[in-house]
Amino acid sequence: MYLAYRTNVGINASVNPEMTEGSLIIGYRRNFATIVPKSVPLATDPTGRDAMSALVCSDLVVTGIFLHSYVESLATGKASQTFAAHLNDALGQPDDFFSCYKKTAAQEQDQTGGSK
Amino acid sequence: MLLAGCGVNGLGAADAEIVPIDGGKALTSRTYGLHLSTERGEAGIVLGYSRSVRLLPGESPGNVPGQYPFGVWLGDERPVVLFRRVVGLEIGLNDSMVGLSFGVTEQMSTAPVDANATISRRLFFVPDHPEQSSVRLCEGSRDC
Repeated sequence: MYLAYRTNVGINASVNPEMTEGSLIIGYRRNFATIVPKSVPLATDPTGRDAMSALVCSDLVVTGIFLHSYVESLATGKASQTFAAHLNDALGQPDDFFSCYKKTAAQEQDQTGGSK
Repeated sequence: MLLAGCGVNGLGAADAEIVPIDGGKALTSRTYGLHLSTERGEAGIVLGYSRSVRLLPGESPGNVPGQYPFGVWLGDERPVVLFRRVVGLEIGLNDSMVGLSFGVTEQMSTAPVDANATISRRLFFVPDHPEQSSVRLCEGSRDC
């Protein structure tokens, strides 16, 4: 699994060997994608497949045509299951590692307003 | 620009800077003129200007923070983030692109995670201010 970001301004003629596709771009194009495998073989059962576990948050900020910042929180395998099980602490707040699950002030206000 | 020089894998008509960051180091490399790369993620030829930033997790004794007027050898690095900005002509011969581009190209990729791996990773990456970046990485241990 990996993430890829690409911006072209100008001319680009290329073939992506992994996705077996070609492209010709004249002008401007931006791509932002995560390549995720669908399943992997099981070590214990040669005929079985494992769908795997992953917990990911990503935040990409672009200013004009240029990348400004990128934030990623990622956990896979047993780590993702552990994070998912303990996503909220004793006070019901998400762990700082996956801060993207924290509610924004606007969301909290909406929730408070809705319960009244 | 062609007269600016030539280089290979970050060395030659190039300069580099390594700065410590939270959880690792950031390596910024700039190349000028004709530059050949043989790295897996960016193999190809650039004619023009390129700037790349790599986030290297943990302690790597070979990369001492500082300025490097003629660049640093980039062939052995395994960054968790690879960012590149190319202005000019690029002929790509790597695993993400085979082809050519002319103009401005910007790309970023994160280190691939094996399908059956257990890791946790938190990245904060600012390509224009790499010293503000941070890396938290835990691989294959019970603490992950």
